Amino acid sequence: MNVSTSASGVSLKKAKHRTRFLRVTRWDIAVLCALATLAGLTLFYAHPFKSKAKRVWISEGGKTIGYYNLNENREIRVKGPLGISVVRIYNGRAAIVKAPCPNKICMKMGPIPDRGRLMICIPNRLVVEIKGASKGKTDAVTR
Amino acid sequence: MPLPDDKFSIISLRKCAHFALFAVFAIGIHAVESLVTLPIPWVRPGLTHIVTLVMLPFYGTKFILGVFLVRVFVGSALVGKLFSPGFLLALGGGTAATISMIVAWRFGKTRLSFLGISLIGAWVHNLVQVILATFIIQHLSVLVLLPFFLFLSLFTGTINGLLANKISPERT
Repeated sequence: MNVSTSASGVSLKKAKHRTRFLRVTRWDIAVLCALATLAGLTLFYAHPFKSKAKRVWISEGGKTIGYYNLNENREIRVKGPLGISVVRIYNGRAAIVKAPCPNKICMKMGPIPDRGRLMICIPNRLVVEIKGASKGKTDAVTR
Repeated sequence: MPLPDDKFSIISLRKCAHFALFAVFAIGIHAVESLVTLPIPWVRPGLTHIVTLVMLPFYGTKFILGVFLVRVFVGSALVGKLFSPGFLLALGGGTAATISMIVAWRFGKTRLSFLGISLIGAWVHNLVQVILATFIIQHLSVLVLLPFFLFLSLFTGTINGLLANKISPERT
């Protein structure tokens, strides 16, 4: 008698077990959905960092002329010892479009898009460097 | 009837043996897991948390945290990453995950299976890791990785939770 009841109890338990895939409960699914929602919310908060403004740093003879937003199209005129150089910022790139020096190496470099890139015009003592958030470059590696 | 050593010593021999056994399980899984190279660095399935999950019904907070700490230190030393930045991430994230899983077990054991608890643990683990990485690299742009790692934790948490459900003898 005793044996038969325990046996039936076991089989009942087993049958109940079989109906649920690996003991997953309704609350597990609720937790999954809640955490997925929270992860989705961080997507909005983390997004602005992605398009964090890169800045163009311009200096003449070691003095900082100024910082300029790389996403704003504009032209900056910088007066150096030889004359006026023109730095143009457009479409997220910076380029020296006019230089008073004889070689025009800085002009031939073309536009620079990324952080850490820089253009130097030695005769006119002009340095143009892009600072700020990088894209596609590694800051550090930890393993 | 308790074993003789249970009566006389402060820490029972049996508990010591259990501690060592679980620590060895966890260290073994940790070592093997570190050997598997995934295409993305930093990403590991975190299978060692299964050991934590399986321990939850049977042991207290101190015991589980102790096993975890031994696992992190000995496991990292075995793999050769002790005190590296990655180790700091594993230590911080793992501690947070272990504590969160213990808390989740305490409050949700009647409702959640190991799947839910594992999901919470994995999620907290990755959250804390990304925040720690932000402090280590000292640049807010690391937070861009946060959504990616959080969604990833849902996958790994599900895998671990289902495995723990399968392995553990305890029904929740």
